[in-house]
Amino acid sequence: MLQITNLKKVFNKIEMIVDANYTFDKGGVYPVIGAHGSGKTLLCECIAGLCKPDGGEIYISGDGSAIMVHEDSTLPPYLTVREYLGYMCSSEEAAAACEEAGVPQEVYDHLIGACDKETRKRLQMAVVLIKKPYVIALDAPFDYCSDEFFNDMMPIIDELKNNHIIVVTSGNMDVARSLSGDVIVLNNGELNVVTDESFEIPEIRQAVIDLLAGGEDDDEIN
Amino acid sequence: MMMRLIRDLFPDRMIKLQEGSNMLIHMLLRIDFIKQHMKDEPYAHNGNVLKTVLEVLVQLALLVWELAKKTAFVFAVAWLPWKILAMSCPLIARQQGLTIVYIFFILSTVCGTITNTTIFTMTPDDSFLLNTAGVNAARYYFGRIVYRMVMDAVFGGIALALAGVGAGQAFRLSVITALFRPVGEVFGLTVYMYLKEIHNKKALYDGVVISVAIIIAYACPYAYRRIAESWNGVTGVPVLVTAAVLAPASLYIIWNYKGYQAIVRELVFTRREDFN
Repeated sequence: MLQITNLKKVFNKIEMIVDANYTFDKGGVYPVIGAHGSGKTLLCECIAGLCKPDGGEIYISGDGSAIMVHEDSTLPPYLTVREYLGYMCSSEEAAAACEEAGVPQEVYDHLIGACDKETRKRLQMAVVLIKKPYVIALDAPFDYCSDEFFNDMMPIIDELKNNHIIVVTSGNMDVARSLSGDVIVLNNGELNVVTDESFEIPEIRQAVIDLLAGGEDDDEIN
Repeated sequence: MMMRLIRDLFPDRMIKLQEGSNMLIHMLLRIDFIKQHMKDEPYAHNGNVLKTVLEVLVQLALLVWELAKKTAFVFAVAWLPWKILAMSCPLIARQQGLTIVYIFFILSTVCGTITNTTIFTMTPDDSFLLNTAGVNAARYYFGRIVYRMVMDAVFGGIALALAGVGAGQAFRLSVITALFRPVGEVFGLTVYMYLKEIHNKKALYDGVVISVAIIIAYACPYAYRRIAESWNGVTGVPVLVTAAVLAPASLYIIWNYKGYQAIVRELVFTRREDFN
C-alpha cells in the first residue's frame, strides 16, 4: 500500500500540492493526469523520496522502496550503458533487463548522453526491472513517445503491477485511460478520482480536457 | 575478489575514472583524424588499449589534482599567513616550520576534522550510487574516509614539506591529521544522533568553529609575537599514539553504524531543496 495523507508541497514558493489524499494498492496501475505545471513530477518525487513533503505524510508498506523514472532523464551522461548498469547488478542480469526493456544491444557501449530520449527511458525501465522497487513512479513516460515504445512498455507494466504499485503521470487523457479506466486527476493541488463511468458524462469529460489544456480551474472534477 | 572489494569501497573513484576517460575519448573523437582511426566501440572496455591508457592518465591527473589542492591549501592558509606575520614578528620569521605546523594543526587537523566531514556531504555521484545503484552505504562511506585519510597523509606531507616544514615532521603531522579524520566523522555522527538541534544548524556551528580556529591560528601568534616551542609536541609520539589508537576505533564505529540511510535521505532532500 502507498498511502498519501494531507500531502503538501511548496515549489519555488508556490504551493503546488495543497492537500493530496489517496491510497494506492498493490496490483494496480494508477494514471495521474494534470495540466502542465500542476505538480505531477513533484508528486512522483515525493513518492520516490527525492524531496521532503512540507506537510502530510507518505507511507509505503512492504520494504518501503520506491523508484522514480524521470521524464527528462537524470542519468549520468558520460557513463556507458554497460558501465552504469554494472554498479547495480551482474552483466547477465543487466543484459536480461535491457533485453526486456528493449534497450538495443548496440548501445551498450555508447555514452548514455548520446542515447536518444526513448532509449534513456528504456534504460530507466531496465533499472526498475533490476531493482524491482515496491512503488514505481513513472513520470510522463508515454507523453510524446513512439507507438513502439508504448507497446514495448505495456507488457512490462502489466507484469510488474501484480506485485508492485505503479503510478504513471501523464498530460494526455487518452494515454491515461489506456492504462486504467479510472483516472486520478491532480488539480488545484488535490487528487480526485474520475471513474470510467464519469468519463461517459460529456461535461466531466470536457472538464478534464479543458484542465489538461491548461486552463481553468475545475469544480466539475472536484 | 579484490576487484569486488575495491568496487564496493571506492565506487565513487571508479565512476570518476570511467567518466573522466569517457570524456577524454569524447573530446578526442571530435578530431577527424583520430575518429577515423578509432575502433568501432571507442567506449567499450574489451581489449581497448586507448581506454585503459586514458583511465591511467585520468587517475594520475586526479592524484596530481589532489596534490595541487593540498599544496594550494597549505600555501594559502599557512605559508602565506606566515609570510605576512613574519613581516612584523621577527621571531616568527625565524620559526617558519613551527609556525606552519601550528597553523596547519589548528586549521586542518582540528578545525578541518570537526567541520569538514565526509558523511554529511553529498555529490551527484553519491546520490546515484547510494539511491539508485543501492551500494552498501557503510562500505561506501568507509571507503571515502579511507581514501581521504591516504590523500591527507601522503599529499599533506608533501605539501607541508614544500612549504618549509622538515620532511619528518611534515609527514608525522600529515599522518596524525589523517588518523584524526575518522575521529571527526564519529564526532559528527554523535552530534547527529544526540544533538540534533546543533546538527540541524551545522552551517552556523561550523562557522563558529572556523571563526574560533582562525582567531587562534592567526591572532594569537600576532599577539604573542612568537609560537611556543612546545607546539612541536603536536607531532610528538604521544599525539601520534593517541591518534593511532582512536583511528581504528573510529573506523570500527563507522563500519558498523546502521543509520546511513536516514542520513542519505536527509542529504537528498537538502540537495533537492538547494537545487530549487
